[in-house]
Amino acid sequence: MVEAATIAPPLGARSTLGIDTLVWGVGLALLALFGLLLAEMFAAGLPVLSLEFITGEASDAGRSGGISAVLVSTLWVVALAVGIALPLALGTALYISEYLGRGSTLYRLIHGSLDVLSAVPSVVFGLFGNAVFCELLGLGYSLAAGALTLVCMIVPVMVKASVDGLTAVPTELRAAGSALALSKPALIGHIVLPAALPGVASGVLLGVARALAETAALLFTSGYVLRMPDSPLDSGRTLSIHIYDLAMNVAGGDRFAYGSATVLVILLLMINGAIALVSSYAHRRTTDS
Amino acid sequence: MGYLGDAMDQRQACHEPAAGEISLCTDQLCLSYGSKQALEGVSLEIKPRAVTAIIGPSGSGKSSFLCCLNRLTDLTAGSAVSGQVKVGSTEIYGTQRHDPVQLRRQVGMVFQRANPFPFSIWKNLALPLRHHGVRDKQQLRQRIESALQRVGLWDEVSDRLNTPAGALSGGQQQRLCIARALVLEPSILLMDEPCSALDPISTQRIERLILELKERYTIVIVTHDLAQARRIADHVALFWSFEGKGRLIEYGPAPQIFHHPTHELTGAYLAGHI
Ligand SMILES: Nc1ncnc2c1ncn2[C@@H]1O[C@H](COP(=O)(O)OP(=O)(O)O)[C@@H](O)[C@H]1O
Ligand SMILES: [Mg+2]
Repeated sequence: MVEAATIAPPLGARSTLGIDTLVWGVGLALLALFGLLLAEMFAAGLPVLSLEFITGEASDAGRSGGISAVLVSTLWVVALAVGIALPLALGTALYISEYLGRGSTLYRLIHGSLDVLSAVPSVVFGLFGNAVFCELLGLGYSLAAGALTLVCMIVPVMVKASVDGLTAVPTELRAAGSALALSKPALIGHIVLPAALPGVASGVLLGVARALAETAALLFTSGYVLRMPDSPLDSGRTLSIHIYDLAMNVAGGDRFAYGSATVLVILLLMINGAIALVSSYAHRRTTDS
Repeated sequence: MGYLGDAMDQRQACHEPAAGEISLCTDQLCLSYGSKQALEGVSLEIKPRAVTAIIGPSGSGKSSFLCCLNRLTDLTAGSAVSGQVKVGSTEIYGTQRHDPVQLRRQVGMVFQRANPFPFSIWKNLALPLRHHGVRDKQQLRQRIESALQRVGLWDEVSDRLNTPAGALSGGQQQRLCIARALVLEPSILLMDEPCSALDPISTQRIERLILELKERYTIVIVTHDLAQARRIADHVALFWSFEGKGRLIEYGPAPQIFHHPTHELTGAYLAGHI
């Protein structure tokens, strides 16, 4: 009896093995599900894609024609949101990592607010954006109001990713730079930022992805009118809202919903690629020559 | 110019520097990291154009002392310095807030682990030069070449200046870091165990280099290698940790410290009893 007990693997090892298989199983199942989802979407969506679909004007509530107005609205919202959020977030991240430190109250506040913010349903952001940007600032339903609302949602994410990237830069590099009598801005510009670029780029990507995927927050701020915006002060409909509307509210809109979703995913992949390219180019530029 | 420090509690201001020399001297220097005191009452006057070796067991505050001499302590949040550090006629921790950037042009530093930037060899040296106003390509090339010559690296790397510095061997990287510290023409060079991660041959090269450099530079080198201190040091300072606080317990010319130490701990440490 005693011998049998010593030969058997300890209970702890057996149970972690079980948990391991469970975790892997669930993970693989999710992955397969995701793959299936993508495959189904592409199968239905790719045949819809054509030049006419990308550049044409929508007709019949989006059942036919193209999505040019939606694309333009989307680009406005995402470009504005990222264009405003990026300098804000990068500046804040630099200030925190280079001047205040991770232990600072500001960083703890931002870090803490992240957990809260990620738990806030985006409808709440929509209502907030509506009250502040549409009403208080008088922007009305407009792409600009939508973009500003998105800024509130993505800045904390970008700040956190950038601070992580910046603080991961080895102290030896900072010490080397400082000992060479580099001024603080030069140290940041020549040594710290290039080394932190991958982290910062991933933060930007997270922000862009979030902005592209958002629907609820934009319903209340940039609106859902299906028309070509003349300026960011017009209201307009972004891709995610278009997909939502076609799928939920327009009978017979499924085909173009799939088409639009395919465009959204392709857009996301392209932006991903572009950011990787830019950051590796900038990295090479600063590390060679 | 007497040695300060062997009389630990004696309070004595730094001497006025002789003309033309950038002197280096500390007086009752204390350093703490938050609530932990790392250095207590260190007073010593570094001899110009000579090699001063700082020895002592690990944790006795040798690296911390070095970081006080170019205000690299500024990088550590929560560090606080009291007492005096004088470089030339400037009190670098004085109330008139000496600009650390100016200071670090005069006081170069080489670290324990070679830390080249993740750039090409060329850019490692060009970056500090450009930052300090050398823009002319011809002049850049000349100064970079002479710095690499001085550390004996020119013949080894002149045909691949555009390759990443990280591809060099450990010894070459450390010599590149020395070249980088020299490229700004400082008058004082601080070295924190520069050979501790190197093989014997690279170590020998760097020791030879240090002996050449002392003709022109004041060198303060931390080393845990007593044999190395015997080989290269003109003056030796022994640090010791008392209840976690680093203190200077003996300072003097190398032969005196090695052959006739006055402090009992020095004798025991050098004999390897501690
Ligand atoms: N950044 C720091 N923060 C807190 N304590 C430190 C820091 N750097 C060094 N110390 C402490 O100061 C003391 C002296 O360290 P150091 O100067 O590195 O000694 P040595 O170089 O002689 O080994 C040690 O007790 C060490 O733990
Ligand atoms: Mg040390």
